[in-house]
Amino acid sequence: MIQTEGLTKKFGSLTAVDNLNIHVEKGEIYGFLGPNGAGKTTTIMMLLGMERPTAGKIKLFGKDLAENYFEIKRRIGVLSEFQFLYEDMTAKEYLGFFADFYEVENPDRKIDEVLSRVDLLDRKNELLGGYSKGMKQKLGMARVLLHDPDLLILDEPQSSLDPYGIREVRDIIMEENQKGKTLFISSHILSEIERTCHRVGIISNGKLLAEDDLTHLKHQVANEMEISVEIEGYTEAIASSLEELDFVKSVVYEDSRLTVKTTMDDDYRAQISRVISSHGGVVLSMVAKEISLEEAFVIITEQNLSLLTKEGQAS
Amino acid sequence: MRSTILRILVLVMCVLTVAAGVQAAPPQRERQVVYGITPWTGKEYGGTFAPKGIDKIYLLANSNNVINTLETEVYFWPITNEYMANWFESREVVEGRLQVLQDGKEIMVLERQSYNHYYPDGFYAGTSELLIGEEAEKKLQEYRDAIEGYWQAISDYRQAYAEYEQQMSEIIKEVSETGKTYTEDELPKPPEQPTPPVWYATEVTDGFVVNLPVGEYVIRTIDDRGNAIEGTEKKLKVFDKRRTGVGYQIIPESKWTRPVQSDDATQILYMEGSRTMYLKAFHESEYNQHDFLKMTSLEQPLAGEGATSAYMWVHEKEVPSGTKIQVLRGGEVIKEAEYKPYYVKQTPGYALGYEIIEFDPESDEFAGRRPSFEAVKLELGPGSYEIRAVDSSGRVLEGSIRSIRSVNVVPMWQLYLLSLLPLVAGVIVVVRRRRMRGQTAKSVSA
Amino acid sequence: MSKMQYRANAINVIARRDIKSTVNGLGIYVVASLAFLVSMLFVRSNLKGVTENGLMVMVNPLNFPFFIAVTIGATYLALTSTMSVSRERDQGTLEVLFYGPIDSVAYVLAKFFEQLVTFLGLVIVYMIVFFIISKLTNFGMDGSFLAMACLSVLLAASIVAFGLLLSTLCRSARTSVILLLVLLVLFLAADIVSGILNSMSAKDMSVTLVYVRVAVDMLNRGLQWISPFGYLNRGIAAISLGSANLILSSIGASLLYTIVLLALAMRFLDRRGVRK
Ligand SMILES: Nc1ncnc2c1ncn2[C@@H]1O[C@H](COP(=O)(O)OP(=O)(O)O)[C@@H](O)[C@H]1O
Ligand SMILES: [Mg+2]
Repeated sequence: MIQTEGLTKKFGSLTAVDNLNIHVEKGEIYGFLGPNGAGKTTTIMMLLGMERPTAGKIKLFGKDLAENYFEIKRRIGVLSEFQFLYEDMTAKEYLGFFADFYEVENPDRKIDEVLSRVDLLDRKNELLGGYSKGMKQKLGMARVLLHDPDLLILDEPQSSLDPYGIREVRDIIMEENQKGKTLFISSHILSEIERTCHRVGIISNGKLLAEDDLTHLKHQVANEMEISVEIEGYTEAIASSLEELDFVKSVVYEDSRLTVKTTMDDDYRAQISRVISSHGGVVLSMVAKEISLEEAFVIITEQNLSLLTKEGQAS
Repeated sequence: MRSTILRILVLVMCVLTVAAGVQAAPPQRERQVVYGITPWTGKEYGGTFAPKGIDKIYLLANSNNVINTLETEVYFWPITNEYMANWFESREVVEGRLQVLQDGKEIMVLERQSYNHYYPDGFYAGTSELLIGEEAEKKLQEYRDAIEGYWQAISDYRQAYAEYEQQMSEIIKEVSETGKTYTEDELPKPPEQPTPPVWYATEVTDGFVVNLPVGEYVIRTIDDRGNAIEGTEKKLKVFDKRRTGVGYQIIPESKWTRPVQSDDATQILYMEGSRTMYLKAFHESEYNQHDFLKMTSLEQPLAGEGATSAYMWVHEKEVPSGTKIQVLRGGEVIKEAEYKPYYVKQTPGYALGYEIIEFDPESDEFAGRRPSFEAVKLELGPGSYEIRAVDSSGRVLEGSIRSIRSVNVVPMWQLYLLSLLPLVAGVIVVVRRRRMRGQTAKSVSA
Repeated sequence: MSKMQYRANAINVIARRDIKSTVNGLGIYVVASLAFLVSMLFVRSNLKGVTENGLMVMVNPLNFPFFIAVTIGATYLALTSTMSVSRERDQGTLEVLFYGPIDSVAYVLAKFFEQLVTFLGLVIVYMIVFFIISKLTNFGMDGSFLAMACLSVLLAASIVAFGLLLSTLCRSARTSVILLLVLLVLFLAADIVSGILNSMSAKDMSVTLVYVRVAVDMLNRGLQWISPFGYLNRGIAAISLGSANLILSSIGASLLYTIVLLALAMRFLDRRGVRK
């Protein structure tokens, strides 16, 4: 659906997007994850032909945008990060305009339909100048849905919504995906991406650090598992014999709590428990802490960059 | 980028300074070969000349014009912005023939011909004619004879008058001595004073009589061997009128010294209420303004500049006196009036007024007086009219139709009110749009 | 569907929306009223002329007031065209349009036609009002009035193209309007100064003044080919001279000017981009 090759954008000396290779499959929800200023919006703008790439190639629906400009644009729905509306129009007029623009059939019915999906149907005759930020965001969503696009590109779709609105948008995303639509969602809010996306691409400082499906990615990032053991009767011997095991990477004792880091290849809790008992220790509780995407994100973007990029590219 | 523009500007300034310096040099007198030009202007003959600095001459098509190759002293007179020639002190004819070329090919070579101007209505009035060759000589001779005859008549008159006075004094003497009475018929009549000839013919001179169809030409003066004399090559544009028509001079009864003029159908005559006016109609021709002004004032380099696309009407001669003016309303002729003489009579009294009355040559009231003007009198009430001129056989003269409209003096507040209508409409629209936001507020609070 | 059909649809839809937005705003109504009020002053002076003189010959006494109204409308048009693209970019709505099936060609043409149709509407209102005035005053009107109205719409095209070019050139609506004002003042100043200098007789002039006059005159002549109002004035002058050749050449020149400027505007829009 979307494929880029060596996509690069420089603003003067700043490289906003750096040699980006992303790949979005038909029918999937792709999360484009990165902190503010990572280059997400710039990437989206290049996809849409609204920023000229400094280098690289883009394919949408398997084609060059320039080749099939109007057809491709018509099959895409874009929700921008911030909503810019014609404030002197009513919601109905606004959507009517875009319905004509995209040559939507049965515009009146369609407008009512999308407005009710974003819960704005009863305010369709109000001027947009009086809309709240969240309402504007939802109206933007309605505009995206209006022409039934095959590819939805949503730039930070939940950024100015209340929890209820976030929920609504999430539902819409799921519904659209169920209809077979492809979604490309950029966000810096991980929890949302985690809930909806099949695959994510992680971008930082313009570079794609990883692109994979979620479970893989988590594994990749968390190449160690942290097991926290509450212990009674700790001795140095426990730590040293644990350290002798191949799968144990580190052992730290603090506040009657033993933190053991192991490799991710298996569940080693039983073995650890056995070693502790053999040295006279008593295990009061044992928790295996799996890494959340949130943490993975932080790890990826801040700490284990070099490690991950190597592995990411290798896989 | 900016510095390039600056550099260009500086360069332009330098060039201009030099050019201006050259221009501002004091006027110099210079002997040069010029063309003296006597162009036919459709009404009369004009006079201008083409000095060295002017390389194109303008003449009317299919009419006799005279040009003459002369050497004289020329200078530029900056105060009036024109070239001047010192004809009185230096005027030498440059011998040769005039070669006329078109598209680089010679089309004719003209020899000098003798000519003069004949003014049938006198030098200061009406039109003039150009007479060539023998005709010119003949007319000049006639004129001289006429003048001769006039002087003869004058001396005869003086003699007759002396005789008359003699007779009268004898009669007076006889009456006082004898008391004899004479009836008027028995008294001797005083001799009639002869009038000088009104018409005039100038001395015969010679020049090249140029009569060409419309076109662009080149002229030059060539010597016996056919070589062009230096400084005599000039372009010549021969042009013609664009249209002919009838122009009107309209004399308002209320301000008879301030006539207004309407040259073509676009020039509508507006009046207020009911008006009386006197119309004079002229045959007129329309010329390109640039070409016409160049033709008549070639020695003024600025004449006609910037008017290459403008046209001007030139009144040529008044329509014949049998012409009538018809007034139409809604396509129907409602009135027809003819030329009559009128006399402007001062009304004695406190207000310095006047009265325009019809001139009756038979009436004693006008004895020894002449009419102030001849015109067609129209009295029109409020409304929209058309007028046109018809000749004695009832044919409408081409280009003589004009509109006359009386304006309604609309109170200005009506016009201002009309102007404000869009604003009112706008306010209504905007208020109605605003209501949509108002509904929002209500529905939110509800 | 072909590229052209997509563009035609975009032009049609966007121009219609913008026209509606203009009709729903107060600006155009204020301008119409202002134009009428100013032109009424000239109607008034013509009326006064007739009443004071009793008789007066005039050529189409309503044409000049109409020309004044047209000029005021055209100036407003220059302003709105200048703001059109830059303001939409400022407001971000331009970006939203470009998510959809539109390119700079279609967008610039949409703005162009929108402005032109707005002006046409304004001229129709002018014509109605002037027709009423002609009946009220009995000044009458003739074919040249209609010709002037038609031509003014054509010539307005060059003013719109000029405004659009400025608009695509500038990042914000404010800078583009300032640029427009600066240019208009420059055009006007050159015209006025050269008019004053040319009306002075050469004999009172120093050498420096003479060369200043030549320079200003040349500058002014050049500017009259850059300024869109130069095209409007030449066209109206052509009508009042009644010269078909001049009218045709002024239409041709302003069409050429319009096309060149529109093409430039499209290129600038492409280069500047549609984002804030
Ligand atoms: N038009 C521009 N000119 C210069 N720098 C820009 C421009 N647009 C974006 N940038 C810079 O590029 C980087 C990426 O921006 P952006 O794509 O908006 O990030 P994101 O959407 O991921 O928050 C930022 O540092 C931003 O300041
Ligand atoms: Mg962004």
